[in-house]
Amino acid sequence: MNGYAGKILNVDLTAHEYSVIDTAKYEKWGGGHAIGSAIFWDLCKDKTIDGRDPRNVITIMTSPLTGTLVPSASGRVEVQGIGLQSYPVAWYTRSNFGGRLGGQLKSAGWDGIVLQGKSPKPVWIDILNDEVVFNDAADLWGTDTWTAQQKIWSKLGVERGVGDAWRQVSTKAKDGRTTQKPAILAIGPVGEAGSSIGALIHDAGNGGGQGGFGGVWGAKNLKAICIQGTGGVDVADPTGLIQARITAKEDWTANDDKGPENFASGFGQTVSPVAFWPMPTDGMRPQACQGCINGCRARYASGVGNESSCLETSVYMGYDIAKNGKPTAATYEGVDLLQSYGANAFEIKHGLGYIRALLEMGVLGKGKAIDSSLDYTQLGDTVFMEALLRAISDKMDIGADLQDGFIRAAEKWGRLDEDWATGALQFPYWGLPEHSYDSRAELEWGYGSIVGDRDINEHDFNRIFWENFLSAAKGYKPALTAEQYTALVVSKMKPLDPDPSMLDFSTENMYSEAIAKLVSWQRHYSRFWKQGALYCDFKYPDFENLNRPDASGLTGSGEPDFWNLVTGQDMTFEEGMELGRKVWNLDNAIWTLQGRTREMVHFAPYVHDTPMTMGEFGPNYVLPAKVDGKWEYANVAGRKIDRDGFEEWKDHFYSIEGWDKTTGWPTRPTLAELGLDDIADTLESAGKLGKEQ
Amino acid sequence: MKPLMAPDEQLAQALREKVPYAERFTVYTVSGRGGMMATIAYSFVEVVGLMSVENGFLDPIALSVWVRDSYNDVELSERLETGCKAEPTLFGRMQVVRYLLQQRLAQCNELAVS
Repeated sequence: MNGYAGKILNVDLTAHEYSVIDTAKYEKWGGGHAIGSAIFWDLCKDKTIDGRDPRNVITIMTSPLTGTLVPSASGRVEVQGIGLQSYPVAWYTRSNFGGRLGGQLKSAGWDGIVLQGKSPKPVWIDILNDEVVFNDAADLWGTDTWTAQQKIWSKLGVERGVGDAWRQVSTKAKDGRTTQKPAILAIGPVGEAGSSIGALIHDAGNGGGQGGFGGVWGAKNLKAICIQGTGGVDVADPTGLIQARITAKEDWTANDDKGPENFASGFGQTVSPVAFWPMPTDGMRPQACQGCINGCRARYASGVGNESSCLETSVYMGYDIAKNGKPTAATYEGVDLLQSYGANAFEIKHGLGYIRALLEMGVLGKGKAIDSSLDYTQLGDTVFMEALLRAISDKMDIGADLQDGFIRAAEKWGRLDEDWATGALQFPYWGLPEHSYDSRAELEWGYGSIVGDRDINEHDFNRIFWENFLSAAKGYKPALTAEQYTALVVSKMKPLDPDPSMLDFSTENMYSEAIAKLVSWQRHYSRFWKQGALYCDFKYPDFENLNRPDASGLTGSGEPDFWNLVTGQDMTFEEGMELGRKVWNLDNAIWTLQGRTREMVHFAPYVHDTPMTMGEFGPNYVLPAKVDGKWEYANVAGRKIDRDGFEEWKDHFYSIEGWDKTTGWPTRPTLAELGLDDIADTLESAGKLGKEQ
Repeated sequence: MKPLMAPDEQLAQALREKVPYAERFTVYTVSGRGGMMATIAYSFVEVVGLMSVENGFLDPIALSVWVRDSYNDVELSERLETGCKAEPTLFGRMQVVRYLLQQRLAQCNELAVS
């Protein structure tokens, strides 16, 4: 079992005991989300329970690639279980974070952690190689995520500022030495409150926010898990892996000497922070997840904003500017507060937009319809972010209403129908916040989210949007024509035939079978290669790579090649896709048992009823499309998702998946084809097996 | 580019006020991976601030209509429209927008101080 540690830690929080699950039992699922879902299926007997129910089973999973030198796949960790966030049903869902926790877990000899039950009192778990100790967390409860980590390091005798010096991890020589601090995953006050806004935080800025797993941990009285490992990961072909990594770095990624003129992203990008706030000018250095080939984070000389990346860095900037006229320290400090309080950045970003809308509508404030004593004149300042997070943590003021997120708060306030219709609430799918890729334009993002459980947060096909937008804005020609790009991408979408219409984002094609194939392919790809094998979304798939003479990225061969160098297997890309299809079906079986029906699968009203408008001279939404029979990068803004059209699309999608078109439920032939007869039996017993088509 | 004429006190004061909720204006920040991040502005001053960041974008024609209809700033409206239509690239148009917005805000601030 090269790549695997060989065992999974099964934690009984109620009894403060643990047992070992043999990884071999689940090896056929590959890793990550796939193994996590399979374990959840086996151990969570009643899938209809609430996320805060002690019977909820949370799995925290690595993959065979975790902790190895596979580029940009070594540092991700998958979390899954019944969440708290989505609406109207809190679906079985997943989250994912980076850093070095997965590597430490593998080094300690574990492929994953299963959390069951509820501790009778706050607890933190200390894992040192094979030893697992349950510790009283009374002195940690109430602390923020950063303080909790510092306190645990202090308890373990790990001094600050030791750099990369070797350290004996215990008084026992057999435990070995390491250069690493223990890796800790913790919740903050928001999670302790059991709020759906609660996130899991590791180190300074690695967060698993979606789903509300911080709140699930809070409900389980679990404050933190600390992991130290001094072992390693067996790799089938270490020499080949090192050489492949060097080749990938030298030949497939950009550097200052050979960087392409056009904006480059994905595997080929340069080492640079993916941060949307103005870069501090007083010094910074790169920071990356374990094993990354071109890191995307930074640590700053100021000590503020460290390790935060991507959307979270934009959370407070607009509000800061609205209050103060330009980005100030509040932009960075506000995000640090999100990390330290352990709060979901997406929910807060769009929640703040909703708060501003309510203020401007005159319905929120002291003595108003939504009575609140928070000082909203400070919105945009650091002090307001802290006041809001404190209110949520203490269940005070509007924080009491926000325990289950902004959508459910709007429902309590009697405003959901109106504000979802007008778009004041920018929460388009399952009550989850907009991701800056509008479903009306970016079809695969919206469709993929609504047929699943969450905002997909998968940038596979939309790189072409920002690459072309930013290049065209400067007057550059696209590096690839729409026809070239489309042909290249579909050639890599194995096992499908290369049908270019899968990437035709035109309005005429938006409800087509081809777009259903696109979404289906992406769901299968992601479920295994990104969420199972744990290749990083920022780097994979690598369709177009402008560092290559033919612009052809490594997707198709790269994913299985690295997998096989580690595991010694002979997996093909197509076999990985089939594993993805298998776990996608398993997940749909869980959602079916939770109560999902076809009728529930629709967007927020504003997505169906209001066109997304953008003018001719302003920013537009350029995606590949066939216009009058010719490929071009066309502006696809200006449209909505027609309800009847979307029903047509669902027919195509369910048909492609082999699901019951009437209900959206999995069918026996499809499940049997995937070796999931037992899943079909369970669905049949529950009266929820789809009818054969 | 020719400077804007100084606004009168009434216009300068108006430009410092918020607009009603129904007249809110959307400004975008577009970044690699960040996508098209929309922020709602409730005043002219907020629009100027949101456009101060490098990747701030907006629809200049919609802005032209907005400053005319919500603030009655006819000169700024016309200059935005003609200036942006003459620019071939989006970045160029946004530079025109920034120049005109910042100049107008500075004029308003100057009047407020005096």
